[in-house]
Amino acid sequence: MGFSVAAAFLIIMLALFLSIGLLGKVILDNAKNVYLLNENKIKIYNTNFKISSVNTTPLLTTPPTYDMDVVICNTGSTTLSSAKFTFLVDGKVVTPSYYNNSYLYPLKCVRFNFTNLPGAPNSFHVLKVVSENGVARYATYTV
Amino acid sequence: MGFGETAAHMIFFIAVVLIASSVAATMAITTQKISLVMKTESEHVKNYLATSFEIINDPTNIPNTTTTAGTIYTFYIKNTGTTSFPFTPDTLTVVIDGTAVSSFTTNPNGELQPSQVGMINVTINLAAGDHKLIVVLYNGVSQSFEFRTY
Repeated sequence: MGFSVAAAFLIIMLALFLSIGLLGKVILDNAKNVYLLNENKIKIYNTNFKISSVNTTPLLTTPPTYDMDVVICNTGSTTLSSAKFTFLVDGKVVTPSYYNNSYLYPLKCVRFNFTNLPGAPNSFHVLKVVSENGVARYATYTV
Repeated sequence: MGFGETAAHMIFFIAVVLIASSVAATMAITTQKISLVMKTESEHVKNYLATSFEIINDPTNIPNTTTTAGTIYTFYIKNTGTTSFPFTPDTLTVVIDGTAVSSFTTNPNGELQPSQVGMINVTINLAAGDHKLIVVLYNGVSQSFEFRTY
């Protein structure tokens, strides 16, 4: 009788440990996912930047074009990748030909250079800048 | 303590072990089933949470080209999540002013990587005024975007 109870207890305990192990792993994975989501939310919350200046240089081409320098400064606490910024001029995506730093660290600025954008002297344009996590800023300028 | 008593103990022991084993096996199988379901659901939730995108157009300046088939409006989609997602006409649902649009193309026509910007070119005739675009991905993640045409 005594040995039977011990054997039954051992078998059930082994099954219980196995169950706890299986469920524990899944619960830990879920907790990790929640942590990653929160981390991403914190990054977005801490993302802030401003378009510090927009300078243009009209070019004597036909049709008229211009070069543009855009300085973006990081006013948040999340480091942003320069390559992951998206620029829209008058609603169309334009790609910078050059930027002077690969990363936009907090309190630092990066200069983005664009060449041969379509536009005549004294023409008015709208610039939209979108960061890697979707935070956007607008600016207007005249060539 | 005769043979009869020993046999009875043995039978009792075997019965107890058998009952305990079936209880343990049922417990293990049930737990394994629960963990498998939880794992599948967890993967689904993880994928859903890691998928994020933004429609980044300037709402008052949507690039468009007029053709004989209608006006082609270009909408820019930026992957702001941490995972890539399928970006093809078969995996996206585009709704403009409450009507699902079937005539649209995507560029790239494949996967949209994190931070990459893709284009949805919708051929449609829209009256001048305010409109609403809704883009739904394969897993149900969606974004809406109000814009104006002139």
